[in-house]
Amino acid sequence: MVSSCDEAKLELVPLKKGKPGDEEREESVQFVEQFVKDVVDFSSQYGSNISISYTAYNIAGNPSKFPDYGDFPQAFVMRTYGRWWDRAPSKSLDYMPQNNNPITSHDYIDLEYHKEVYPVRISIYETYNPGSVVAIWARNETGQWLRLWNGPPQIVPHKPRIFSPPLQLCNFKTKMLRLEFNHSLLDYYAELDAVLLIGTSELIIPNVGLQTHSLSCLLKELGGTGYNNDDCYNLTPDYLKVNQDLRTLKNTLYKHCTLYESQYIETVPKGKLAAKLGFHCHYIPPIEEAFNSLQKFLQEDFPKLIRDINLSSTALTESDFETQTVKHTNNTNNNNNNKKKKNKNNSNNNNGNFAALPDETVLKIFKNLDLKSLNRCSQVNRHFNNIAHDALLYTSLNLKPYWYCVDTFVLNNFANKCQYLQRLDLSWCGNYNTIKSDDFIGFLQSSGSTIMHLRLNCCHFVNDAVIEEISQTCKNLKELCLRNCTAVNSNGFAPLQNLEKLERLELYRTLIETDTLCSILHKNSHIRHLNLAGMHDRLNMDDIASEIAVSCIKLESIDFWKAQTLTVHGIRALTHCTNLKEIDFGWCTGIGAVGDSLRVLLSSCRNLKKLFLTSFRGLTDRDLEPLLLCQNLQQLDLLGARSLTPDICIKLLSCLRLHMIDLSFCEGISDANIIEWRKRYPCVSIKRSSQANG
Amino acid sequence: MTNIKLKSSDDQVFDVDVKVAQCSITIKTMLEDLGMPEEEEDEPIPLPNVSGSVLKKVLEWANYHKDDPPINEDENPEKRTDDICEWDMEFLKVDQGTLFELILSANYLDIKGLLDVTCKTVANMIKGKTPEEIRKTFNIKNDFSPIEEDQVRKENEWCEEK
Repeated sequence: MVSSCDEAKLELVPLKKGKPGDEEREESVQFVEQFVKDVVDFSSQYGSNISISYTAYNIAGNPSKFPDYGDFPQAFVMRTYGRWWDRAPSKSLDYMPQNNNPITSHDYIDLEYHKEVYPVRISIYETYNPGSVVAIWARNETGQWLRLWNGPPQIVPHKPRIFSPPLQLCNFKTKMLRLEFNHSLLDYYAELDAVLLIGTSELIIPNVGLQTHSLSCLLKELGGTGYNNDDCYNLTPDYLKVNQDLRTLKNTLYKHCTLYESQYIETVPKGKLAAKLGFHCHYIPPIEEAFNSLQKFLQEDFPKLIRDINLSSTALTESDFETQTVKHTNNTNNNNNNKKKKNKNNSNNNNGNFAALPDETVLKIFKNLDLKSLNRCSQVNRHFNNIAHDALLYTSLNLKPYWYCVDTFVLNNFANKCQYLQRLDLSWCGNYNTIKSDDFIGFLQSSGSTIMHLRLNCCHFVNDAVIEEISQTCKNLKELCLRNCTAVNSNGFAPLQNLEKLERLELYRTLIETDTLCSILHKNSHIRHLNLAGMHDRLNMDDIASEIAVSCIKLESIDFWKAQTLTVHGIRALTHCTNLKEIDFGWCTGIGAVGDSLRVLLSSCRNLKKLFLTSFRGLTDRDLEPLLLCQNLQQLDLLGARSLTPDICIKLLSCLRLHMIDLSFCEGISDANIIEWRKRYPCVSIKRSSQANG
Repeated sequence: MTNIKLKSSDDQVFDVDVKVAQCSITIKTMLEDLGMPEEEEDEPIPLPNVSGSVLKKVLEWANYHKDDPPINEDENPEKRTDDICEWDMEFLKVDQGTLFELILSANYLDIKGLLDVTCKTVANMIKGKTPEEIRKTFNIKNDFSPIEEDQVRKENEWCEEK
């Protein structure tokens, strides 16, 4: 029984379900297969806002290229791959690195579907350089996120792949997924074609005993494909046989699964208790499971607990006794002193070995801890709680790894501890209304005056009022990162003219206007890093480059990626910035013929470490000759330079200590050249994208 | 090579290379204030807060690290606890009491490198543990009232996996 509704493929699958005391009756579950309806949010895309090539939205809908493999503009591509960005002069260090997860996420994309379902399988169609997906999340209607899967980035064969990792049981219906990516192991840009969400109308669970035997495990057994060692996270390693296991499951659903109908939740009145439980409400197990775990607790954990309690109480009495004896033998002073000491000893006994340490030293130990550990220390005892609240522990705060749970409550909690806050990274946090603009403004008013570094990438609560508050409160701001802060209106950036100490300003994909940006740059002569990638076309890059040339000659990195309005005038103006170490002119296709402007610029920037001239089609050997004197040059992107000859490439490869050079779509250079150079210059990563099929 | 004598709280005397002893800023300052000992027979420097067994460990550490470049916290603000060198890891495989005595001595003697690495080691013992496990590991008593404990838990459970 298959029907279609709003692009979602529906299939009603019968499921026999016997209720105790009831006569057996037929029930059915609807299986829903659907591709992405809309892209709600993302952190980066290779394509530009006005184009359809390589943009985030390309992940929506049915697969358009799969099973073809290669570089296709119809796919979703992000801006980074490998570790090149980490090694560029514009690299920004993480605050509080002890807070990072073992696998950091570099990018995300939020996907919306047509119909809410309980996820059974999520299949990611990777059509170029697979392996970078590291986490999948689902969001329910109340805004809570649940991690369905996470795993390390993978090195997998260069083949098209439908990646379907085993999912954790999701006890709520979802129509919004987030994928997270880590690009560090990628050879080249990853491309994604589509993401299929397969789910059910009702929650089904495998009826193998009462133990939590996950649906993903069951599917693996049914699939009969066995473990594929190369790609153990992937439940569908062979795309031709994809979802066979699911078909088997559907045909025999009554054998394998029961409806998960929490007999407990249903009877809980939707009153106080349900409200109090909130999200946890989903986690109330069915009554059988509760019995099961209670039994397990009584048999295994309870005796252990009792043992532990006995052990720890004897340990404490013993140590009490010891200190008393020591005191009596050693201390012959008067009684008063004795009493004082006794009190002190008693309070110290609460702290075991920590008793001997001065608070500063405990603080020093705590400084090494991540937020989760600090939160747990707060709960140990009063002494630990006190120290864990010390404002010196919260001078650098990185909440990005906790984007899924940072909300107003959390932010307000921090406000009490952040009197000395200098660095704050709230990137990715507070979206979907979990932090409101006013909440953040309140936070800034209480803890913002000492902030010097502020990262708010992809924070949609950042609006005009927030920018206004930042410019008034954070007078000493050196770093301001506002990538993807698309909720700020074009006039909303004007207050930033109040700032005078900026060294880093990142405005990727924001709506700032030319005049405003020029006045900000005029005031901030210390700017070293400027990110103006993916901006709208009203921004006049030539005017901005001219302002930079006058006001910001300390500039070290400039990102003009996709700036259509940059011309030879702008390039010429930047010649004044002789400290430039990193230039990204990728896809500045408005430039046309560069004349000798590029030659002059490159001659004046001898410290260049990274140069991206992606899609400078008219680029000639002569334009690049000055680079031979840039002995520090490590990364060079020449994609699409049609008239380059092998001659200049060999010179660059042999004279410089390049780490990476991208020669994709350089028609003057043959594949044979590339193969030969890869052999001859093994230290250089020579990139060439492919569009080969299959 | 000049040697100096250090005397522990329990009157053990250690003959130490000055360069090793000067890993301790406390001793270094003392020597600068008092002048270098000229004769071998000079009185040993008393270290009343450090026992002989711990001082022996401290000197072993200082001897291994005597040629380390000075640590500049401003240059490297990264707080990582997974960068403890192998020798230190092996060196710090001691019972908890000794570890804490080493921290105290490093603190008193002002030996930044040793203090850093011992603090990191304790931090690693805390990481990944629940409050109850932390209490057990370090023999700490929970002195919260039930109401306090509930409040503190509510404040701090936001980043726990749900």
